[in-house]
Amino acid sequence: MARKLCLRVDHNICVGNAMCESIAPQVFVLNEHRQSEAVNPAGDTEERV
Amino acid sequence: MAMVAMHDDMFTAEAIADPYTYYGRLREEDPIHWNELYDLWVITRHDDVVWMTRHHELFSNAVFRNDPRPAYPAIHESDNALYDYVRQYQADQFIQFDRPEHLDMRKVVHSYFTPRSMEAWRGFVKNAITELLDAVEDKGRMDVMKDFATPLPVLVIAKMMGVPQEDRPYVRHLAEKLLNIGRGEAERMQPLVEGMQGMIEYVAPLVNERIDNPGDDFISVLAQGEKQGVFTRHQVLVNSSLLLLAGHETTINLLCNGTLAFMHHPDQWALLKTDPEGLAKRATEECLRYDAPVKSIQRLAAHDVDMRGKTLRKGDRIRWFITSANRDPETFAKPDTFDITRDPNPHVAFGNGVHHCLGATLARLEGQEAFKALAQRFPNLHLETEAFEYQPSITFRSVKSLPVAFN
Repeated sequence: MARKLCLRVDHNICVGNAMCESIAPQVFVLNEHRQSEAVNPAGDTEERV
Repeated sequence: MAMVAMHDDMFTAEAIADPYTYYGRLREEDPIHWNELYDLWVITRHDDVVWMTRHHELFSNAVFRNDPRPAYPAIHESDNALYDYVRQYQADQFIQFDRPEHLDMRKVVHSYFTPRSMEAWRGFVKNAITELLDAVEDKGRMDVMKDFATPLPVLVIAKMMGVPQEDRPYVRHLAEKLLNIGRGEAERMQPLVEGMQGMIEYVAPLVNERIDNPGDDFISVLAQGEKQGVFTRHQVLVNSSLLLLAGHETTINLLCNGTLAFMHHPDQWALLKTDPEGLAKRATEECLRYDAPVKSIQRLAAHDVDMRGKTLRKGDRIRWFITSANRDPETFAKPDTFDITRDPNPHVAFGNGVHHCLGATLARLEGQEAFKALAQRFPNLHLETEAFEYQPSITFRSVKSLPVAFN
């Protein structure tokens, strides 16, 4: 059983290059300001995240 | 090996005027194409481009440092020493490094360009647009390229660099010389080197000043990087003008190509005018996809890499074409349709991965405010000609002029 991850995106740092969304689309989506949101921390494997 | 019955000269009048047909055909017939004429892999599919950007360890960005081949298109032989200067200059820009150095360098400048930091510039960009459009309003016509798209990014960049008001015409003069980086004329090296040397000479005392008295400008950010031991002085100097080299021509092309796309698609122009504020964001993304400012990006293979049955050898020169990736039917429904409501729009106009364009948020902001202002102020905007010439470049998609009227 994998550990439960707690994810948070720091919007002072995120440049919105969508790397996260393209690697783990179940976990990250860009919001209307093109910054990442971790919408579902359990959406993909820990290794991928 | 697939044989493609098409010529390898990417600089023909047809391929320059309409890159979509030329690279679109390569995408269909030979997506990993060896171009014999230029000694170059030409990559044209969206999924391949995204895959390559995510495998930065396989594809080196240190092109100017490590590619010994001569300039192309060719330059005068007597200008080879000038080209050596350009190579050394370009090689010290942080974008021309790979990890681990690239990560340390990018960290220095990163926070200056986050969406949150850039949003603070929206007011300045809006005011600059208002001033430029005020200046042409009474004439009833303008060259979008010369009167609007060229000065706007220089106004913004000069402000970011903390250039005093009275020096801005001089910086604009240098900026126009630097535009030769993306040109194809054989005599382009002389003005380009003048621009580069001029920028170094101009910026040097500003760097000295901001090492001691840092402000909130971009040169101060770079000077801080020198203090931290990340940048050499030469790197601070060349990265200062990187804002102009990377952010000038590209923004010009976004504004010109986007305006032209609207003029060629009156239904989308009419749609934008119904809600400029609400539609500007998605419209700008579609402009970036449909007729991208940058046509292709260079890399050197850092290892032997197999792709679709072909082997790219270590040291091989590579160009991936945003132009064709952004029109890939495997990724985009009706890829040749200009649709300003398109969503999602995973275009690669800014690249992707660790080298994703640092200035993307600023470019977006300038595009959004520019298209919004044109739609609000000049609803009758129309082209004054249908004959357009493009710069003979495979790096940039640059129209030479864009005369419009709006009465």
